[in-house]
Amino acid sequence: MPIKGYNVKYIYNPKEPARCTALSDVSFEIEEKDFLCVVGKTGSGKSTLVQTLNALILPTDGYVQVDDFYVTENKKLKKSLLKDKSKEIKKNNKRYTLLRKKIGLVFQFPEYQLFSMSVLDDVMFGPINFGLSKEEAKEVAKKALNDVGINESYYQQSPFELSGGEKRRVAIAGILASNPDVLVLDEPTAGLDSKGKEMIMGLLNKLHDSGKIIIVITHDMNIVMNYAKKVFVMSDGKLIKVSTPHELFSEIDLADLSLEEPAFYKFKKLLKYGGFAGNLDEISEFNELIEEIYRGYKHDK
Amino acid sequence: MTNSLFGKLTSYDTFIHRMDSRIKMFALIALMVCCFLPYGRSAIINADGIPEFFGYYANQFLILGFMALIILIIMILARVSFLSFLKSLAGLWFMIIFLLIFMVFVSQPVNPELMHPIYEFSNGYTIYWDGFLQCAHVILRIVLMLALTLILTSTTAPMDITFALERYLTPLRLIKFPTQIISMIISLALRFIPTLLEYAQRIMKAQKSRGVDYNKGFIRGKIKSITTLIIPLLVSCFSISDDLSFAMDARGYDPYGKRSRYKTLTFRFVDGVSSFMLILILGGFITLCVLAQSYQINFWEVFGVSGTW
Repeated sequence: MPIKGYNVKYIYNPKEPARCTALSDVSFEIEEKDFLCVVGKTGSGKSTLVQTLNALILPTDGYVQVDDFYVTENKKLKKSLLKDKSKEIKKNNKRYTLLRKKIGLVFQFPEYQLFSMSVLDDVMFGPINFGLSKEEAKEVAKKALNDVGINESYYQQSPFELSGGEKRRVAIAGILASNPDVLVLDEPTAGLDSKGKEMIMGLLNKLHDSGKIIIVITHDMNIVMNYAKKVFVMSDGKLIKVSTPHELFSEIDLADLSLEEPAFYKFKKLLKYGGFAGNLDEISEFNELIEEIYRGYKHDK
Repeated sequence: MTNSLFGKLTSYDTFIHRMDSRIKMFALIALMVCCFLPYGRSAIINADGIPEFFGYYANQFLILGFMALIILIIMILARVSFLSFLKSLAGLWFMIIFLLIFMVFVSQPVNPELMHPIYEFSNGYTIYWDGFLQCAHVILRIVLMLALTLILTSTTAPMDITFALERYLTPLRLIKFPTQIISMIISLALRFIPTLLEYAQRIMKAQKSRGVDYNKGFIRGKIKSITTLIIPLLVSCFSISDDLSFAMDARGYDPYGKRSRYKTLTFRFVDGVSSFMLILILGGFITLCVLAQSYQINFWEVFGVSGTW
């Protein structure tokens, strides 16, 4: 299920003097089995971009296409896009509930969306909304909770009694339970300790291996380095680069984007500036770097 | 909820935005009082001995219409979007239905002989046309009040509203009323309206991602979907208030301590002119009220419209 964006533009408060262009002419393509990280400094339009994917906000101009869904606020454009489409497609494009089932979006600090009396009820809420029976919803909810590492002893507890990390896992399970084809997460590891981060990212990696598209907004470049297959770099509402993590860390000055380089690339640069003669440019993995250093050491000797 | 403009300051630089908040606050109260003054004549019995339909409300609607015109002009001057105002009134439907049911079907008149019946049931229970007029009259007053509040909140920073409130509450200090604490509570409440709206929007988006459709369903469906918003919002509120109180404590806030002001309100020429205009408007409306009540003047006749209603 590829996702395409064509000249996506979004303006907050378009009719007020304090209008703010959050996205300007962003075109992109997200392919099957992508593990995409969206990076950029605060206010660069990352969150706005991902919210257009499941029509939580509608692009002021341009559109996002996901299968037969066309997401745009431009009525004229939408009419022309849906001109020769079937009645069902037109109906689905009025309300985007079905699209939201396909693309699950987990917001930053998703624990603030919990509301049910028990953990299990909260996770069942999404699947029931998307048309599953209570029994089916219970099954998928249990599976999702199991996937995020929440065991049975928590099922009947109030979600408000859980710790921060547990709440977050329950909230992610709430989206996972709807079995979306694409999972979008806005800073899923913000505020978590290293074990919590590892747990969440490991889960996402597993989901990616099972065939889902994963899209993660993050400021943590170690996550980008370790998990991403593709990176979108956003700046001032524009998509300035689409690259692999290795290209990103080798070619772009991350300081300009207020982002910190991963320790691995910092170390590589230190070696280079320190006069290390080996070829470090193509190296993107720790093992390769060790081998190269060893080769250099042997050569010098 | 997302349409609501209350509590959201617009960033224009009109003279209404620049006016002293104390004057704006006084104007709000004065114009609200004007909305609620009685301009109607007493019930009028015409030559045939039949009570004049619309008699009492004729003056009321004319004056409130005039008031609406004044408010519309102020809205244009303050660059408050009229369309957004109409959108923000969408939530009034529930109130209109409630008022309509209450005034038409529940409330019964003290003097039935002065009313105009639509239908009389066999047990003597009667529905009157006057109920509809009364309902329209109340709704019009509420709409005007909301428009005035909207103008104040969209042209005045919450902190300025608080300063004005505190200034007006100052005399109560004589009876040891804690005006500083009250004004702090109000300023915090006003300050957090946009924040809570943002939270609400974020929660709504998150719940939409889980398949909630806030536009779908009737009363039961709506209540169910609103629950998914209200509970997380309340939890967030408590969390914010906890954090805020700790942060205030950490920065040495003492509710009974003597506080100085970084920003002081100043009365300028534009405030003088606006105060003068306001006094004229207030005086005008009080005169109209007295004319209608004491001399039973039908203002429509001033415009050459006469006859029974």
